[in-house]
Amino acid sequence: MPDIYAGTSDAAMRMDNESTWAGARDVATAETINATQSKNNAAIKIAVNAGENQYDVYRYFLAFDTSGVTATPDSATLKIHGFSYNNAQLIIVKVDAGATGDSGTDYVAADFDQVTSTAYSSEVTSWSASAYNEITLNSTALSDMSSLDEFKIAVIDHDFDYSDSAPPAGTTRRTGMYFANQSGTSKDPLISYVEGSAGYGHTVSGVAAGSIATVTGVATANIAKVSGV
Amino acid sequence: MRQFKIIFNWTEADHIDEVIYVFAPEHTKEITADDFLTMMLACVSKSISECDSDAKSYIERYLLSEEYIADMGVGIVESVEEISA
Repeated sequence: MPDIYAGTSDAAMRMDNESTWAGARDVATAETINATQSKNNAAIKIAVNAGENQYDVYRYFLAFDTSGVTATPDSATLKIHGFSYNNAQLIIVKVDAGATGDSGTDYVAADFDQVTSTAYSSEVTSWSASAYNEITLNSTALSDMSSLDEFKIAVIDHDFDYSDSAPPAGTTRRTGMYFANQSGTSKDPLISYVEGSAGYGHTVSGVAAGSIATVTGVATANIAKVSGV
Repeated sequence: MRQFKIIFNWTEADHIDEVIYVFAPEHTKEITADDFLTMMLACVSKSISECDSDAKSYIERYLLSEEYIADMGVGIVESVEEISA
């Protein structure tokens, strides 16, 4: 099962103390970015004070060099080592290819709004603060791993950030994790995947390539194009 | 838009953090960019705990976090500079 480690270009970005939910969540440029941190007790955070006029939104951006993934993987697991707090429910989302950051180029504050609504996982509802957390990547992620040379993702809060639902007064949810800049690789973020068969590697009629053995009787390994695509 | 790079040297943890702090029109700030720079420059070469109370609070709230600082040990504010936006 091959592993791909995240580039050390990963970054924690945050918005703090904004007077409105939209002002914290929907801005173009993050207020604070750290692309050198090794771990963060609150890498993902959603918070608002009792007066509902001080909102915080924290996100974690990372990228993987998937240029060597030539066939859609049969499965893939994102592994992130927890640290400290663990009460924010998370989700993995696609970062737009236009973001400055990739596996070899640091993310920048202006990438904060490059998160998309494309989910790469289900909601993550439990989190170990002292071990690797294994997150199953969905068929969209598997397809993108093979079709994109740079697999850019963000870890964000599910219940409020992904759902674009303002948190109720007094909410504080935080989840911590280790980043790629941690010394050594024993706690670094990585993707472990099961290699797929070479051949046609795209979704056909809504069915993920990994779930397709043949198309009209022809093995996917022998298909280069379907209907000219 | 203006932005600043603040370098923290964690001498006990043997790690360097480079934090970029951005002043953009869309951000709500309780301090001007000039006042931020003045406040932070007064911290250079000091440990975070030796910065004046306003700077220490700002670092804890907006640049790092109290828990992170406690975990990393002694952190020196190595440099503060404005960088091109």
